[in-house]
Amino acid sequence: MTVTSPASLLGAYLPASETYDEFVEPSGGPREHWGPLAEALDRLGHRELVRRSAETVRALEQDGVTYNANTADGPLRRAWSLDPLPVVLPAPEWSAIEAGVVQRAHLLDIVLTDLYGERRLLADGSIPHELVFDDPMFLRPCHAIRVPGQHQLFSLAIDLIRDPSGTWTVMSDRAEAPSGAGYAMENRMVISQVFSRIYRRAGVDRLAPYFRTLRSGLQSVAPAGVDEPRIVVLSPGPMSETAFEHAFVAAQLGYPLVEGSDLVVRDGRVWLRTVNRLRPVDVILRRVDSWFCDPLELRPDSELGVAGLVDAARRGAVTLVNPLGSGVLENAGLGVLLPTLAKRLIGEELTLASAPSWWCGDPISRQHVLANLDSLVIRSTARSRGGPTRFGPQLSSAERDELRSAIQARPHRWVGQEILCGSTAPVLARDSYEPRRTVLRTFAVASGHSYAVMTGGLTRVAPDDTSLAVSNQIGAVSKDTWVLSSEPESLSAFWLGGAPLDHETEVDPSAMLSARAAENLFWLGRYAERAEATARLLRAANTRRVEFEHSRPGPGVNALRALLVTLTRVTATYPGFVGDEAERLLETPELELSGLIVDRNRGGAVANSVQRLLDASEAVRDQLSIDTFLVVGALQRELAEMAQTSGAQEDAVQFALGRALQAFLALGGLGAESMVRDPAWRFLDTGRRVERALQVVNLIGAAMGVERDGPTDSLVLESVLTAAESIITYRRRYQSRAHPDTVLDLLLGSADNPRSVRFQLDLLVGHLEELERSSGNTPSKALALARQAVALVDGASSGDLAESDDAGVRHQLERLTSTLRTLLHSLADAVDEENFGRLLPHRSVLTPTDTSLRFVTAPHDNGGGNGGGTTTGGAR
Amino acid sequence: MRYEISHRTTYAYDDIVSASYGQLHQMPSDVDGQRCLERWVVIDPAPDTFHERIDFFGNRTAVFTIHAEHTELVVSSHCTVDTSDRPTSFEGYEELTWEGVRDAVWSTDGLADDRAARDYVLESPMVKALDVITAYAAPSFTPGRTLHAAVTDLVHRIHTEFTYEPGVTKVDTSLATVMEQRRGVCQDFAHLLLAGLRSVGLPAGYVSGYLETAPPPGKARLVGADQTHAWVSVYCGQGRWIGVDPTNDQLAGPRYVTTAYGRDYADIPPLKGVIYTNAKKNELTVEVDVVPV
Repeated sequence: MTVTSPASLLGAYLPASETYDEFVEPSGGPREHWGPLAEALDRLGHRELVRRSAETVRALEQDGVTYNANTADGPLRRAWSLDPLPVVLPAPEWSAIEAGVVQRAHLLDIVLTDLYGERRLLADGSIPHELVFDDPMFLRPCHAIRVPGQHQLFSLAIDLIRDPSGTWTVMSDRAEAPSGAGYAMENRMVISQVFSRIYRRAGVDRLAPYFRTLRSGLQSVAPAGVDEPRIVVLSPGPMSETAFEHAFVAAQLGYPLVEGSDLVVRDGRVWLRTVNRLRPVDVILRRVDSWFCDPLELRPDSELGVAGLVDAARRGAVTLVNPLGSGVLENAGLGVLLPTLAKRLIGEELTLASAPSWWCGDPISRQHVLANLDSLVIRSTARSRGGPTRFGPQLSSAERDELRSAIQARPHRWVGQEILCGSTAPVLARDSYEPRRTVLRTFAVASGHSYAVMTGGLTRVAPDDTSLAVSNQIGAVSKDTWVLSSEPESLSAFWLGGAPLDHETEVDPSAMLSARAAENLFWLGRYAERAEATARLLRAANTRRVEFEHSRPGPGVNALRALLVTLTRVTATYPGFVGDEAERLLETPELELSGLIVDRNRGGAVANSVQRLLDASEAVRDQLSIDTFLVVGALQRELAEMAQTSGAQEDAVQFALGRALQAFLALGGLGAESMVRDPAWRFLDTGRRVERALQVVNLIGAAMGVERDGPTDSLVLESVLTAAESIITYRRRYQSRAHPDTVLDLLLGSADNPRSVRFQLDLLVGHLEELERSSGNTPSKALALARQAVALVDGASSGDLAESDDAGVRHQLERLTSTLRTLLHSLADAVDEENFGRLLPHRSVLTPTDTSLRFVTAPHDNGGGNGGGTTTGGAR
Repeated sequence: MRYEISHRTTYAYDDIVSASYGQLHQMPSDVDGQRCLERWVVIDPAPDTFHERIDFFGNRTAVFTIHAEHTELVVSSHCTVDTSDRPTSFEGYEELTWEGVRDAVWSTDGLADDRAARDYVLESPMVKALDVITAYAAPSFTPGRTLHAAVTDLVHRIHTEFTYEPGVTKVDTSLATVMEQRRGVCQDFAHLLLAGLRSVGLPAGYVSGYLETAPPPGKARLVGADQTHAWVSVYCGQGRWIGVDPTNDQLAGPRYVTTAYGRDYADIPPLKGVIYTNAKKNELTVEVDVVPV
């Protein structure tokens, strides 16, 4: 179905006749509700659509939208994929879906309430015990936890597909920590920009009200007696699959994004560990899987949880939503029972159809499934167990036999479901539109007595036209989902609409900043500065290489060699230009130089600092301007590309450094121009200043510790000034060749050169005074050290420092740089100690039942599994 | 019988512990024909919080937190328990066949109690189904045999075919290893018996508690020489359970004091915790006195 340049969307689009297609009628014309959109898209033309598609990709890249995949080689950061063509649903059809989602949410809420409460549904036989009791997501320690208010089930996602007859059918429920609402919102933000005119005219229902409801819902579940609840979003961290969304949702809601290690249970309640004190937490929007949430009562080796959290939740000191243990609702066997339960519990038929399915715990159903293994899809009742979903038709006979014995061994763990082929929708391909299968994820959140449903959702399409399964994990493409308004929304309604937001009180910015976030910001500043300083020095050295590499021995070659040695020392990338191989490397420095740019695994290399900078920024994504990711992400991709092209050419090195410096300037500008002067910025800038001071001190120490002959020194000093971004200032101020004492004047003691050590120290003193003031923990050791460094710099005379002994060694300079280095490192340690207060490492201890084991060391010292190991994976 | 029990657990660490979170399962309640007349727990350093509750399995448990720096943690629990009403035989269940109990549990329209007991047939954290144990247990469960005879036989076989030997297993040694080396301690034997009973579809739970040990003839009772102990509770239908001890090849009669029930050890360790510390080692000492009064 390849058409070179389709004149119209319709003309080039040929869906299979046996499935329902979202866009075209079986007769061939577009469905009525697509009419205006199809016309508008046709007017744009295919070429323009392809252009907009590229714009879509760019917009997502700018926003840094990722979905991390857990691969065998560890987590993989993957760009989020969005097809530019939305899926369109008419208002009446949507109303039916919405009602069905609300009804199902109500029913699941009743079930959840019962399973962690009285368990009458088990006692009266409505739900077989083994279905629930054998589900690893049913968590016995979470028995009797109650969410205040009307509902136990706070939020729910339901995956729907449309069967060939056009009926929307439930595929599965997501209740543990439903993901996707943030991605849906991001999709909408991008598509409504890229197709702004079409979007405005189409009259599409907005998604934002869902987040407003979510926000007021979070406030309404606060523990009794709390009027202004403090709310956080708990994430497993930047390595989790949906890390982007956690930060996105936190930023949308305006609540801090935290990890387990940011929280602590103390005095019976939960606290956020902020920079200088503990602040109470009342409500937690939980995006960490329940099982990982508490090493005391749940998974003992979890690094993602908070010790004592279950107990705090059980006593109502904190509310988690969804409540711990809610994942049991995802049990596929429960899904089979829901239609029956609906009649019994709410006296209604479920309005959303369920895919015909059979729970093998029932003997008759089991027979049916075993007899039809080759035509059904077989799922484990518990998502976390039993491996991937099996599609009967794709199984080899050996696999089928294996599955058959697994089912016969523990029938209650298996469910068979009819394979339903979802509807197709057009996806933009390179030169055509292709029909692909879709799944629609819908979102509901508790609101008063009922549930509010996001008007729209996250449509995902299969990666190719043969795939039966659609999931993010295997690389699905997503689509925006447009629900057409039943009535036009006026602009004023947009601004005034919805319930008035909860009364907003201004929040103390430091109350929002966790100690971990502060620490990451500090390191973000340091790595940004380190990467920049290294790039500048590399560029200065490389300039000399281009000039002198093939020259005869003389000042030029000597200066080049001195700079290369300086490079190894400043970046601490030994042995480099000072080790056993030094002579060979100094002769042909090119490979070593390009390694210092692109080698991501080499500490001190530019690419390594960029990687660490990116890791630090991922951990504080909610604090940063999204442009940060645009800048750093692009740079990282370029460095990675360079690393692939072996034998980098001469100008490639120079070009890469130029690009890198541009990026660092942009980053510095973002920090200076786009960040509010709040504690977050202060930690970022403190990191920058510490690192810049260190870099200059190291540069001076490494390059100027020894006096060389005049012409050589002059060349070296000029490069030092270039690397320290002070050459222009120097020339203007001194109008001469470089002399050691004046160079030291400018780089060390000058109070008005933004690249001097003194300038950094002044700013540090300011930051540290402010931190001391706000913490109330006087006096600050870091501040004392900064002042000590200022005194040291002020007390030094450039003339004395430039003096050398008979062997050319500048002893005073060496002493000063070494003392300053020590001071700055101590200062960094003191900042860490005074502000970031990490918890000590934690581990589990277990007392055995048999006291004959009485005089033994703890089990983990013997390498035992229950005690020692730590886990940071899982939970997503 | 009436006992005064003291149970003292000491963790000595080689570095400062800045915070300690713990959970106890060593507070007997009125179960199994026993009555707890008195009960208290002392923790040193004094905990900031101590919250008692009844857990999912019906046990009394408590969660505590300590935020004072310490290098030693001592948990002492004391209780007075009367075990006079503890069943001492299978009296009343003589006619039950093991299949009868199994079928009652798995009948779809059976008693709620019978169905609820299914929780104790399913796999649990430390007791996974193993073919080698299924095969090992099978000879005890011949068709038509009474529950009493079948269970007694399996208990006896474990007692005679496995060697009680402290130190060969750890708190988390797998059942496969225990099967292979045919050695272990009470916790291992209890798990083994659980796996065997569950392999034929019978509900069985893990019991943790104390056992009064008689001093050798002519010797005085040694202070602190008694034991915490573990055995198994077998389901007899209609919500009734009876305790059997594979380590000592006998019914868990009045000399046994129950502190907690679970599916296996992992549900109810006497004391478990999470500590925040740089300490690499800790020395654990447990002293138990079960004194008849």
